[in-house]
Amino acid sequence: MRFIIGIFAVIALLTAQTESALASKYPLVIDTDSISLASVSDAAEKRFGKTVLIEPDGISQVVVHGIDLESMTMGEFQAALSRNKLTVIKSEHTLLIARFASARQTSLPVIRDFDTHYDEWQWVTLVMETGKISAAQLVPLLRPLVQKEGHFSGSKTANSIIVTAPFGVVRRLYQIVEALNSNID
Amino acid sequence: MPVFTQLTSETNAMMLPGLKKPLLLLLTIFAIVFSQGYSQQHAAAAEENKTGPRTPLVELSKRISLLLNKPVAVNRDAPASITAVRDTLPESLPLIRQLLQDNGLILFEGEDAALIVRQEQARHLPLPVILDTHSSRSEFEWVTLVTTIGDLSPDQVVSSLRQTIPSYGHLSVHSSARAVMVTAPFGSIEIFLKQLKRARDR
Repeated sequence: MRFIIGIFAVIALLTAQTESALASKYPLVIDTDSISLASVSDAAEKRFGKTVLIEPDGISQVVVHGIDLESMTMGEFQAALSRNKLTVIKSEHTLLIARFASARQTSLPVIRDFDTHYDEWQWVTLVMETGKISAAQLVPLLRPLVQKEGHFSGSKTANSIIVTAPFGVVRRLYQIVEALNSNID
Repeated sequence: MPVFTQLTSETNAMMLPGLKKPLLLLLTIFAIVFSQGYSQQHAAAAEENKTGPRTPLVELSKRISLLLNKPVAVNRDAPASITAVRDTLPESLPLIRQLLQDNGLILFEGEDAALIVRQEQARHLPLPVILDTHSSRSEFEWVTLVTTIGDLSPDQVVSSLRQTIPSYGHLSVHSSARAVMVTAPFGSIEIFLKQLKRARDR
């Protein structure tokens, strides 16, 4: 019995040793160049003049290297947060820093065309008729192009797709469906 | 007193055989663990000698920021340093793109900021959609191509041309639109399109 426990101990120690050796061999940016999300939200509050809220179960350290927090635009702020799988949900008086995973359950703008411009990494929901292309057929083909935290579904009766993802990704899908339609023409 | 000494030595004699095995086991564990760590350190050093010096990603992102005149955001799970061929940082964007690709990363030029992203996340980016390969782009720039497959069968296109696309790319065929969608670096897309045209003309 002792011998078996000993063997398990050896295996556990070896595994831990290998993982720590690999981590120290190639440390990640988050290990070397991160700052606290609280300080980023303070800077955003000053820069954008709105109260910034942070999702309670979010991450505490973020990588925003390369962005000047004092002079950043909202687009730059969104882009830097996107590298941490975070986004900004805007409302009239507040900005909510939320995880990608919970973005699709928040109140996002719903768009049908691209007349209004949004920041590339702001999450939106697109409802789009797919024309001569069957919406149901599109779902399995295009779903891999959307983050797993996003949403992609098709309605057979309305022959439409519903996509929730960052604006830039949604615009790309729109362009692909347009190109497919023009190929049928 | 002699009785106490006798008792102690008897107790030791009874305890020691029981303690020997766990002690030996512990010593073996420590010996294995330390030798493992030592060999891994040597392997890491040997690999660095083989692949070249490592450059901090932050330094490279500063260089990119100067070249593109826009901020550069880096993925939190990107490696803090990458393997560089030379001691100096590359001066031009094509060389930087190649260096990043060699390290499993890509440079994406977004509207507001450029991003350094892991290759496996490339297909989730707001990549440009192109219909042909006439535009001049870097061979390492990721794009999505939508083009016709002509009279070829969708299965034939997928089975014969999937290997021209990197594993992190995306390839799918819409049968009723008779069109193929490919997401990959521009260099791979050019090769893919040449082979597709050759197959269509056959």
